[in-house]
Amino acid sequence: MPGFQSAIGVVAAGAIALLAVGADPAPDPSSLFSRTASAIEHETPHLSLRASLSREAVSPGGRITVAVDVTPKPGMHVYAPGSHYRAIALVLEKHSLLHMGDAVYPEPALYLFEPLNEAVLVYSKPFRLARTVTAGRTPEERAKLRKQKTLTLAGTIEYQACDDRVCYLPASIPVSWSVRIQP
Amino acid sequence: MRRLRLVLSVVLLASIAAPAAAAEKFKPFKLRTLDGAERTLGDLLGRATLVVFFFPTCPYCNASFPEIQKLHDAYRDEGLSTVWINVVPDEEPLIEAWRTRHGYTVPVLLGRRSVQNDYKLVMTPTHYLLDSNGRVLLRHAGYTSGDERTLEQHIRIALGL
Repeated sequence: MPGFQSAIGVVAAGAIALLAVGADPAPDPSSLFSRTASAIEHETPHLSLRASLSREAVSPGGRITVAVDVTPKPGMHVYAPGSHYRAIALVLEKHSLLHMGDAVYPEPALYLFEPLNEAVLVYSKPFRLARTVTAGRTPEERAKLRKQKTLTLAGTIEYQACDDRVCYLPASIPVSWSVRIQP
Repeated sequence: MRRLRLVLSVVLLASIAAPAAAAEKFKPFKLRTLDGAERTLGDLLGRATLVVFFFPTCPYCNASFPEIQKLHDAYRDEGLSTVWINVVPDEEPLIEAWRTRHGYTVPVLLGRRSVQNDYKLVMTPTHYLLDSNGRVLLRHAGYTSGDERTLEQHIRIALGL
């Protein structure tokens, strides 16, 4: 509700959850969900988010692929890494037995921010964001994993959305997954 | 021409009087400055007060703040008090350099996370123009080039100019 007014708007927020499991190779964001085991969909005022997992369990030493499908609402954009604004990110909490890989982003688009005559990197069309997590890199870590039935992978999806008039407050959506450990 | 001016003045005054008639008081605050001092709303109220909620990497804040700085410079001596309140605490470390880089002199207060809920903020920049008693004369969210002229009209009326 941009503009001159006396009324005050209200924002809604929510949470989503997802994961991907298995002894996966490095993620290929374009094909990641061909074997999706489960997915949770979530709406914010700015985006539709679909979070998925490729498998439901991981073996010690295996890889977990976490991914989020993001569909900006009409007129909205979020920032990509490389702009000096707050880029959308899947932030995963540190875990002693999990090693978080870098996020894989698709190619962003250039957006001309007219008020500052500035070209910025954004996503305004549906895109996919993915991270690979390795479950136990060392023999010690894998031994510890074998003694567990599940582990928790948690984090947040962070973003800031703007349209052609305002920027909405940065949002942080908690995510959490329970991953079964395969013997 | 004189009649047209009169009509425009009445319309403009009415647009301010309507929210003022509702007597919405701006929620008082006690927030820290960049130097760590505490300031309350009462400390800052002028004949008119412009409060703008922002954060340093907000693109539209960066587009509008040069204009807000100009309004601050132009009307400070007439009794306009201006303050910018940061609403994203994790960007506090950016503020000092950001302010210096742009040459801003408008006072900045550091909002806690609760500020977003306290003022039901959805977007930035969000502007509030207050009278000398802290009543809300105008609320304006977002920025499009030219908005500063409308804001200036309201400021001038609030200052009795």
